[in-house]
Amino acid sequence: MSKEEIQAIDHSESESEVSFIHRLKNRIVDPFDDFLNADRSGKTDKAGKVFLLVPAFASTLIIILILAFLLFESTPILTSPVGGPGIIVNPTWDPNRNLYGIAIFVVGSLLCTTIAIGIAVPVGIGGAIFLSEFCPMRLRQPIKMITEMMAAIPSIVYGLWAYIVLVPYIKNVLAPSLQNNPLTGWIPLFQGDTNGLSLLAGGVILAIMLLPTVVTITTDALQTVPTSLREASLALGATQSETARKIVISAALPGVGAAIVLALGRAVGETMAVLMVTGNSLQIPYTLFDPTYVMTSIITNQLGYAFVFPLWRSALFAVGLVLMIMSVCFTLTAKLFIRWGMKTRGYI
Amino acid sequence: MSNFKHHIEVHNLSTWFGKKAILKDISCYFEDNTVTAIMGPSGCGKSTLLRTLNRLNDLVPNFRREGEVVFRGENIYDMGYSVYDLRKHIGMVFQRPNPFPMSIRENITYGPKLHGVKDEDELEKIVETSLKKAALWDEVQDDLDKPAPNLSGGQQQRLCIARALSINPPVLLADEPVSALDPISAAKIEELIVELKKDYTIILVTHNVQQAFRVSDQAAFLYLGELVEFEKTKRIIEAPADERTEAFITGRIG
Amino acid sequence: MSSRVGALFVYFRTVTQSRRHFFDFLFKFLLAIVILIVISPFFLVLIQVASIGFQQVFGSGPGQGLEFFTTFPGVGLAGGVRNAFVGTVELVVLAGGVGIPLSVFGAVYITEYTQAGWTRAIVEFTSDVLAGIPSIVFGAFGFAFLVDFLHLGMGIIAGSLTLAFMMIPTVLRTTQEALRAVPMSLREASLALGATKWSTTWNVTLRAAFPGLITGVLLAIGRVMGETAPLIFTAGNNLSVPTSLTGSGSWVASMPYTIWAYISDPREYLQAKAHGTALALMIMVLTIDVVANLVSRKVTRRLV
Repeated sequence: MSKEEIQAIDHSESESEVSFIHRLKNRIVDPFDDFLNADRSGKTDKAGKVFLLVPAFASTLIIILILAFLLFESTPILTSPVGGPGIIVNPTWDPNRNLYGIAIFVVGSLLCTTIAIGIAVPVGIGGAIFLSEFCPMRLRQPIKMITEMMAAIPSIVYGLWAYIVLVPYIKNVLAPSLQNNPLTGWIPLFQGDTNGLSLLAGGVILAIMLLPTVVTITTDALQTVPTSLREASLALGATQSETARKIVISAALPGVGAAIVLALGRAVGETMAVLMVTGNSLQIPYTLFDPTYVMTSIITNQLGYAFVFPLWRSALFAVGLVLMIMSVCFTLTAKLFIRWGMKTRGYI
Repeated sequence: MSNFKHHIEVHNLSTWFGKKAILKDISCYFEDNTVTAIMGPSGCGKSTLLRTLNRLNDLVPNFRREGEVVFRGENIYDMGYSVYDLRKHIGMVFQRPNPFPMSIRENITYGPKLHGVKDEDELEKIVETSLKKAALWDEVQDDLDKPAPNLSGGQQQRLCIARALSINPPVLLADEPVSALDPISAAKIEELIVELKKDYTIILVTHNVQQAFRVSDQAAFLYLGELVEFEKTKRIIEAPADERTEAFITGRIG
Repeated sequence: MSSRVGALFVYFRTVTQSRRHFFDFLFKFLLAIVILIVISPFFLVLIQVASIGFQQVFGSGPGQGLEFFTTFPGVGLAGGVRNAFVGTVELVVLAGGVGIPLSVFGAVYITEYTQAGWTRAIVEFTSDVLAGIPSIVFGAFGFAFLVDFLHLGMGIIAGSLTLAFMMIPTVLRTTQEALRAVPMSLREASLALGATKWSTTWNVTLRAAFPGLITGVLLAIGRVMGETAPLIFTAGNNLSVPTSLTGSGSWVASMPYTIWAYISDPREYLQAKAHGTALALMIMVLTIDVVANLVSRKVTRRLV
């Protein structure tokens, strides 16, 4: 190594050190000096800034704590010989025999969510198009208000309604009529005896709870589409419905995408209503009328007495970890949709 | 009166938004293959008049109208008159460029497809002729599948003109088409309007007297919802008959 | 009348004069039906809950009417749900006392004291993530962290802190929106008079953003008021009101939890009480929602 090189290295090191100390001084010492040199009102200002810094990061801190505790609590099962990451594909849940497969719950959640999204997204987007494009002015405000109120109704109240009304309806009316009808009776999805507590009930009540989210967010997205685009389409001789379908929807696509993803997140995480109507039976449902067990329900039902058994408790927290990861992914995707909208459409 | 020579005739037209009167008893006509400028200070109702001609105001809540607008011998506000067919024959260009968030090609083919053109070759031909008429073809012929919102403001506005021309309407409405553009793009579009006069009847809303003078054959001056003067552009600008017109032309009101 | 019929006739002629007209009409008609489907659950739920619950909340029998809120659960028909009613109020007040200042201060910091950049991006992103986390995960976290790790034990403290965590994203984001909507010139006017940034923020900016802030707070309160899942493992249940801050005396009932407990019970009079509690909860939550809407609409009206 030549002398120059050594010098160069030396130099760069001392440089970086200087800049580090310099930055440290900039960051910590200078503000402190400023604070001491400031007059009284200046001191209030600077102290206030520091005082506010802590609450600003409260949500960050909580997220970190939630992640840390879920990881910490689910470590025993994820590292244990009877568990490991493989529990997510293992379908047998039997704490008495130390079997902690959570696949049933993952599948149950996904099926319930699929049914709910399958109903709520088309219906919700249709409703949003009506509300944003065709609704008479006088009706718009009341309908918006009702959808917002629907979003405010607690999930336990939806659960109560589903338990008292929807479940008996499925048991006494829907299932027999579908199974005894020669047109639909042979379809495998409609088979099986049912007491009403079923995958279908969970999916339907979830769909009802998602509708206000989908309608509100989609309506907002449609409303951000500039009126001039609608007018340009109408001026070319398009009908209102052609304009809505071909121009408005495509211009609002990122916002609609965000609405769907946020609805997905809510569907997977919904707890009480689903818990009350899905029957909570440890099996993978094969028909719409089979009972099922979702991720949120198993935590709600068992954490209360499982917490004294380390592995059992840990497995329940692992379910929570899966839920958490899913919800973070959904939030991220929704954000990406909105950023995509900013980039390609310039509004939203 | 109705000797079908004029493409559009307006008879005693009055409009209101809610209680507010916008246009007061306006009668005028727009002849074939001419450029008519509708001038006036902002808020005088020139855009409203223009948008009444293709019934775009119908969707504005609280809009009310009396009087007739006759297009090819039929009152367009008659019950049962097909507003979609009307708009097929009356194209429109807006104040700000408003390309659809699609590719350049899709922007042009949108209109023809609505009106039942399905043949790919024909659509291709329409894209080319429309863009050529709007003097945009040379600039974008290699980028037809690129998103239209990526074009510059002046190019976007010419694309909107091409889009309006894609269904070949005999009448073209232009609502201050250059006011949101830089001077060079504006000059290009003015040239284009003069060029298009050969094949189209053009109705141009503007608050710029010089622009009206440069491009139009006849002009209407609106003030506070009243039609003050309706004359050959040269006459109206060189020898205004009304003092309000004179005040506008000399820049005392505007 | 005959002109109406004539108009209808002309309208139908217009609608049927071409395929496109007809599809336009059909599309709108179907969507009108869809919007009816969308809002119908609201009325279905309201009718079911009110049909049984009305007697409980407004009736005059034992444990009904005012007694429903002022007496503790008794034997059989007697007694109301005072424990749940008081518990929910206490939980929400405590949660608000912690959550609201925390989120308002946070929102003030990131809108008034930071430029767009990493800090702001991190706070906004984590709030949005927090808003999307399932409520049962909050419950499990509250159990692991507050009840177990911090040894707070189940009870009113752990329950209300868990609810406070859930309030943060809503209040923070709406306060932030409200602060952003305050015109820059207002702040500049105050600073130009020699006011400090601190006093400008509290006396001018926040006051201008107050209606928006209230809306956010009300929406958050309405949301946590109806939460059941976070409370199951953190607040416990109680047939009376909490008497201490720690130990089993601090356990607290809540209206959503009571609905859940009563509805899963086969005894019919308990189901009626569940409906009554649900109706009361719905009335409270919907009133809060309506008030929040009224306040926020005032904001937009004032700013436009």
